[in-house]
Amino acid sequence: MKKFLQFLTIATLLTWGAVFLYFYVTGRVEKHLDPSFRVYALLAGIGMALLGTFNLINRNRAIGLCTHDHAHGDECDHDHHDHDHESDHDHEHSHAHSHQQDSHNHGHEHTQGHDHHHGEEHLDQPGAHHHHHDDSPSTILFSIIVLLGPLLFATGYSKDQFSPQYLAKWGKIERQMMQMRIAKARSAKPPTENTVDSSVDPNANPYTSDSVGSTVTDADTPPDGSTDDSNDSWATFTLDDLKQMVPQNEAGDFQLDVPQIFYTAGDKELMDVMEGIPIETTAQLMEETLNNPNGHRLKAFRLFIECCAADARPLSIPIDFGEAPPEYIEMGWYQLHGKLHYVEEDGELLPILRMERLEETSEPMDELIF
Amino acid sequence: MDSQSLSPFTDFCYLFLSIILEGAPFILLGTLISGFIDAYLPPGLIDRWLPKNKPLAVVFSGLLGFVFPVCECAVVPVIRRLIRKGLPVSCAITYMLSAPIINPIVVVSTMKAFDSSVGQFSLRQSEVADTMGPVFMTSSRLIIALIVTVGVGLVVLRARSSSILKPAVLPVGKAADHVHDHSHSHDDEKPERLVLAMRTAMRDFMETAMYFTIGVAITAVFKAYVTDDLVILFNQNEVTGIGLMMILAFVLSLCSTSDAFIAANFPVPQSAKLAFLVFGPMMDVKLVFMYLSVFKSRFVALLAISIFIAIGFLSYVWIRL
Repeated sequence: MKKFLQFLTIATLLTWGAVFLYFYVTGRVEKHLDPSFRVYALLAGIGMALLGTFNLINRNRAIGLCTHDHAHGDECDHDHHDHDHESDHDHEHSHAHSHQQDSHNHGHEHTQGHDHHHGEEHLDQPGAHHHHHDDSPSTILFSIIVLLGPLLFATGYSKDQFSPQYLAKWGKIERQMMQMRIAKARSAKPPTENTVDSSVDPNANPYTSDSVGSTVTDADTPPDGSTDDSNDSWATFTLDDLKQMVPQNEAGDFQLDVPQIFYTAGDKELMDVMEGIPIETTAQLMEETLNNPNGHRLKAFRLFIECCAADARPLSIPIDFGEAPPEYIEMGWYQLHGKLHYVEEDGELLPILRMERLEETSEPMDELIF
Repeated sequence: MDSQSLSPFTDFCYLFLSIILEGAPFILLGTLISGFIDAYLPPGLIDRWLPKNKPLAVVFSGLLGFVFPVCECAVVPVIRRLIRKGLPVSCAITYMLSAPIINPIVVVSTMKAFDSSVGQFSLRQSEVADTMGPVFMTSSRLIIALIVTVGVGLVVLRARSSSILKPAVLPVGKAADHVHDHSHSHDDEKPERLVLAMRTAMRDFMETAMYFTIGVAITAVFKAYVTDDLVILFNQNEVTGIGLMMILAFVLSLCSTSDAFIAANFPVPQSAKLAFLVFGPMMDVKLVFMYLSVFKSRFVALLAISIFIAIGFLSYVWIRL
């Protein structure tokens, strides 16, 4: 049984190594990890495979080391109870006890087995072992099931992308956080003449509502989460600056990513410059479930990942067609062309793309933004 | 891909795999180090490296992460083995809690995250960089982490190892009532030591990765199934925000190298962000399960509650100093 469990343990490690290598070789890892972490996954796969193989080759090798802190299981050659240390080893031991009748405790670890703490309570039971079954067969079997079951099942079942429900949920949270930050920045500054007219129709359509000049607020704090930063440290931003920083296509459309547009909201100088500019962006489309009373809007989003997909943040902007949106594939990739506007609706300051046209496109190389 | 085939369950699978792929390499690294410590580090040697003064040794351990930086996933198997090799439990716990925060990698990532929370998406840079934000948040994170971890270490100094550690992890000397100084070395032992190191590494990997897997599964369930109204709760008031941000750090189980990017974007007070950044690397879902491979459950519960209160209090007060 012990040998069989040892073999299963090695097989589990080799399986993990194989899964990691599979993810790397097939490119699936690109859907999960930032590029800098992918090499760690590869090294881990190689490491697990080597570790498993090494232990497989040496699984029957006995270890005669006497470290008294070792994993010996079936490889501990020496007798812990009857041997005479002075004669067995030609070195000095600093034992603070005599070795008679197991009056000492050895902290042993068995590779397959268990730790021994057989102490004074066994004085009357020479040789009796008190085993702490941390590594009992049932524990080992349980760990193998836990390690293999979810990993293999998830590997087979994962689509390596999020569902629309997940994206809508976390996209909404991102948007709420952005709006809270804008509101906080506003509350930290005294109102100025640029402050928004609170009578703006929350359901205003960007096609008909006033342009940014009357809708933006003085929420132009540096977007670092702090609330007391002075605007003095921010340079005046002009259209020339934008042209220098952002590439334009042949038609003069500014080629921006959705996250770049998303984070312009609240920065008055940026919004002043960017209001009404033509935009080209590539994004996935989804149904817009927020502030979409007449159903003219969809949501364009991109996923931004810091380290792994678990910290992915769906950043989105509403796109407005002024009429019922055309047929589209949910979560399909599209190149969008339109004009950027900023509107305030239900207390939210939103960048919105007034759509001119959209074209279905293939999934870009940088599908996930890292 | 047909979006109809996607569901919260496929989200769970995706999240689960991502965290496993991100974290397991560091667990493997930790268990390999653990294996070599077991095979090659003579018991008692660490004691000789540490300052003789015990409180000073605890403080020293709190800063050790700058020299031996490890993340929270890798540190657990390492300290588990170091304890068995004679590292005082108080020093081990201090190092375990502090190293994932007090290390150069985390310093850089925290600075970067708070330098500009929109980072790469910002369309303009300020002419005069605002360095107070990142410097303040990074140094605050380190200082509060050091205070808390050294505090925990000093408390643990007064406790008996057997009341904290699982029997299998008790130091060799404690379990044996005697010390065998087998630091002799024979050439023919070298391959045996390597076999021992690899076997220990595999065994530690199996145990640590099992707890890690359970923790990751719980985190993935939370992320896949939590409702979107949650975020509203965070901004009700500062104290609530601090508590909820620590709970969020607990369930999200983020790596300490990336958590600052998440915290920087949360529209909560700085004190709540600070609490998130200090508490998360010390205590989260996956870590609870990993700690249970070393410590008794009662100790893990006490540790979680006490650092929750201490970090929350310190974060609240710190911002007002």
